[in-house]
Amino acid sequence: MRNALTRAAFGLAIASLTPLGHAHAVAGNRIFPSTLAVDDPGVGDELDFQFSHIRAPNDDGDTASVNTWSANYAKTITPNLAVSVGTNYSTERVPGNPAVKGFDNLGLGIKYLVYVNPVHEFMFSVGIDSDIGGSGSKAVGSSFSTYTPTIFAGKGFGDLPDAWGWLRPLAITGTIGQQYASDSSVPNQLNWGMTLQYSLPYLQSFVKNVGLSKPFSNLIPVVELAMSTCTSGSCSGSTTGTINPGIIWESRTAQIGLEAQIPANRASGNSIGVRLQTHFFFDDIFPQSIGKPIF
Amino acid sequence: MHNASFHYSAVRAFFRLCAVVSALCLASIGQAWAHAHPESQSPVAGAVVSAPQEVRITYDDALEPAFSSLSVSDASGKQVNSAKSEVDASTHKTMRVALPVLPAGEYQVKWVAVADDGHRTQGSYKFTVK
Repeated sequence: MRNALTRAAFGLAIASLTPLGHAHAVAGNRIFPSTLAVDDPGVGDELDFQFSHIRAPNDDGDTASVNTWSANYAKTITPNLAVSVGTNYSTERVPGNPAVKGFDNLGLGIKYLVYVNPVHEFMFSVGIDSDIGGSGSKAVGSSFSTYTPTIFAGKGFGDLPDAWGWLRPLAITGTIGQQYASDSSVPNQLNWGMTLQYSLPYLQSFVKNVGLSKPFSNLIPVVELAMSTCTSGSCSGSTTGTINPGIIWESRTAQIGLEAQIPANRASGNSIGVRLQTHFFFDDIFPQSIGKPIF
Repeated sequence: MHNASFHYSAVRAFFRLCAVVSALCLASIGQAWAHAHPESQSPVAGAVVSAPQEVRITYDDALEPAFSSLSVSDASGKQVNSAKSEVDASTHKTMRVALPVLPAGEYQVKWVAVADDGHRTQGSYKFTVK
């Protein structure tokens, strides 16, 4: 029973680091990229694949090596409303024990773009992400469901005065969501994150052309902070997560991202992991069919 | 044993599906047309130049001329181009607007690009006439 709970909690922690929906987010001159660990504030028709490797402590105090492959698909129903579905396949290895591997629970999400301010490059969305208990493998997926109402926001700094021109390519995004579990014995947690990004395409096209050529003119250096704070039970108040510096190469139809995953504190691990993303923008690849809103 | 066999079949199916979908996406990228983004600009953003005769932006996608526009305004916000912007008739990818002789000062370019399929993008940047 304890092992099952441990696996469930560990799976929950890993799942909480993997955003469900990804979106193509445009506010004025700003295009917020689909960041790897923290969901961006937009909605869109998109397909996202990620691979993550990290070593993190589990509830038994052992350090587990976890490889996770994930696939997520988001579909717009209207221009402002999207639903998403996704899952992970993960392999967890603890020295001296057999590997635990399998599919995590199916994740479903819904997201609504509430407000866009093109002049100030600001976006704001709300959504609910859920993991359907029992839909994954018994080894990895938990038997209980989780529901996470979440707020997403993004702000570009393109409205800074001319004297601050070099800072205009900067943007920040953030999410905060309270996760509830259907099993009352499972602690609830606050999932929160933020990103700081510097868009070289923005610099080139809207601030100052410094003569960068491809692929450098398509790069967006980014730092993500993906965190989770336990809000109930014996773990209440403890926070885990990773700080992810990396780079995103962005094109009109796809992007590729690569990030390191640095544990934010001792409870989050003691070695650096890696996260790799391939992301497709269906609204640009299939603009006349599955890439546009249903209504 | 049966469960293990099913497990590996499911995993293989999952990764094969991911690979097939990725390949389809990659194969479709060359045929895609949607949001138009600037590939080159003249004058470029932030440039200090002699008075240009026109502003010209080339996009990575064909534009819908009726809904795309390009304008230039001076530091006080007054539009300086009297001519209407036009999209080249052959590729539909380059939009230009003719300019009068501009005195020294800072100017702002604003553009709206509507791609063939109706996707809209916009942008603005400044250049300086010395």
